[in-house]
Amino acid sequence: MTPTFITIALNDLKAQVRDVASMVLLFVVPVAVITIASFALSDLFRPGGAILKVPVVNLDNGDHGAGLVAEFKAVGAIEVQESADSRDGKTALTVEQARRKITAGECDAVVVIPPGFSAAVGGGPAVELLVLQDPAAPLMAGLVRGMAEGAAARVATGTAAAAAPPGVTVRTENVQSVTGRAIDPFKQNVPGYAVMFAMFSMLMGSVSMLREKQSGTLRRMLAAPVSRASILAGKMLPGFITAFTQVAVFFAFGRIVFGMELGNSIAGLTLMAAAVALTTTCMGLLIVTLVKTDGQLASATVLVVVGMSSLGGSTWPLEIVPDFMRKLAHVVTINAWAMDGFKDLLWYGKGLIDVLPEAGTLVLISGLVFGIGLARFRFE
Amino acid sequence: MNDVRLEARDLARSYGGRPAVAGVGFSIGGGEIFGLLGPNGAGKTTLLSMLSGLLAPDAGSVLLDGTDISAAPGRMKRACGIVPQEIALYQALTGRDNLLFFGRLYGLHGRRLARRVDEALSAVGLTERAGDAVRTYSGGMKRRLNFAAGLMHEPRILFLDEPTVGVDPQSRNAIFDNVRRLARGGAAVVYTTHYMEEAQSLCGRVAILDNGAVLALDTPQNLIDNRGRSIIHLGVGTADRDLAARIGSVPGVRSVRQVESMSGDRRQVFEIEAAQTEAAVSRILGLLAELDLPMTSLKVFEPNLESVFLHLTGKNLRD
Repeated sequence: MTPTFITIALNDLKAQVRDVASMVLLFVVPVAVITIASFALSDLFRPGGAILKVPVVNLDNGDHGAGLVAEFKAVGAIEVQESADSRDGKTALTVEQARRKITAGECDAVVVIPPGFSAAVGGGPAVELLVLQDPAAPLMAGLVRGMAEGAAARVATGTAAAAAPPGVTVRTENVQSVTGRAIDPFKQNVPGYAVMFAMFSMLMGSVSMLREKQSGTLRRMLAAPVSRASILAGKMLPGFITAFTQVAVFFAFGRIVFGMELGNSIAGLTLMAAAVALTTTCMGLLIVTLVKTDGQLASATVLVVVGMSSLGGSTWPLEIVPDFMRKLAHVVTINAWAMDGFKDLLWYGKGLIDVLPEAGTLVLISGLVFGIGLARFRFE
Repeated sequence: MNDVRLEARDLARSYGGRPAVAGVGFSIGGGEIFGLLGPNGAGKTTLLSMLSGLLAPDAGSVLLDGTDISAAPGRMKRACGIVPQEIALYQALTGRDNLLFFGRLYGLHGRRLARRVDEALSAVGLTERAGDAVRTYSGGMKRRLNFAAGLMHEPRILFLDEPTVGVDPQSRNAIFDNVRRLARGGAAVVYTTHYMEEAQSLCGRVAILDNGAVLALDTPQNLIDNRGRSIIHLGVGTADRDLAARIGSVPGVRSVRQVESMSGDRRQVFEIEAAQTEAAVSRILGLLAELDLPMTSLKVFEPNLESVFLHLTGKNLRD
């Protein structure tokens, strides 16, 4: 026979799923917010602002190579990093250094002009014009590839041809980091808003508990041969499942729709998602003991969610705030710990073991909050 | 169904120093419908909560078949069903889903659960609407489902807390029929209400409750016979200020008070409480004839539990 707390939890989930408005609030609204915020803040994650920086590694010593660099410079939207031009006496950028620039998120693409490019344009042996690209930024990389082909054609023929000249082919190569690759806005916003909206799911849990009290269904459950522990577990489990599912859905959305890389440890992500869901669920229990009406509950939840999310790095990265704010965030919010864990996994490619401190801290906070909530909770 | 006996002994419970229930005691058996009649705030719900084991009393005890329920709370929970005053249902779920859920809480499952859900839906006339969300039900239908949810495990004791508040006559009759059927099947029913008509027509015995104390406990008929008073509303076309005193001196009349004075005191209406109604009315009409005063209206209200309550407390049930 199904344990009673599972029966209670399933009943709660069934009621929740049939509440279309709450499902939209829990899943659709966050997806929209993540998308908008990621595009709106995309420049924040690209050093140099709105102009596309394209390092050019010029390994050709001929005039056509220099001409190709000049063609790139002539494109207004591109800031060619001239350090690649060894003829100007600057330190030449190596191909390996260019790769690391993509890996570090400093640019989306690099153009490598191979040795013998000038000779190839002049009818010599064929060469490959190499475009190194960030697979997570296909639009930008595609743009660079197209410009490279056009520029090569113009250098060779003096016309605005679209295709590369004979003897020059353009090859594209994806650059992928072993330890984690460039930061894109989704790697900030998906975990950030996932934590924030998982906190909103605690509102659903709290509302459910408060309504059980107000409607008399809690009294009915208490009159049945069911332990109070089962009732409490049954009421909290849906909150945990909802919050965990939210985080999973938002990460899946980021991955599937925007190609966000999930790092090297799905187990680590699962652990962090579970720790966040546990913490928000326990916070929901505490909040319901502090309020008496739906209005008080909504106010308290908004205050907690918006306050913690702003301070804790859900809405913008903690890396851009002063040091004392970062320290404060780790004292008064759960978001800071959650974001630390998710960034370790997504930004730096760390593994399950590496996020144990963050997950452990969240579990400790959960235990503390649950203890206070349990002591304050009144079934009558 | 085995015979059941529920006994309350000197139950007391206070909230913030204010006594909600003070020294209440009675016992009821299987097959009996026992009414707790009192106005809002009389302590009915608190008493019901203590009887059902939901609330621990400050003093006194509740015995189920001779055993204190605090020593075996699980036994009491399995034995009793509760129909709360509120519509204690999940509005987003269907009627059937609600009954399935509450049935499962009592350990029902499989075929027995399905059978009980069908029986309960049929008993309250909701089979046709079983698949609809409760939020689409009328107030009466919700009340009936609320009632059905308390019956899922076929309880030996059923606590009904104002189960007919705001329902249509059809739903009220359906609930009454089910309550009577359960009692005939051997269940003990404790029924709280502030509708004296319900207590009078449904309950075998009634305890009149006010300010947390039982003021009287007997069958409705005995309460009416022993404590009830007829109320006579008499209109007379006179401004005579001494008439109330003259009516008060008529044998059988217990009290007189003027309730209306109209048209420049040319007409007065008196509320007269009398023991033997017919004889008292006859004597009063004789008095008016003797005084040559015209009677403008006469209404006689037979004694009922309302008048018993009025007599015991000096206030109306709906005050």
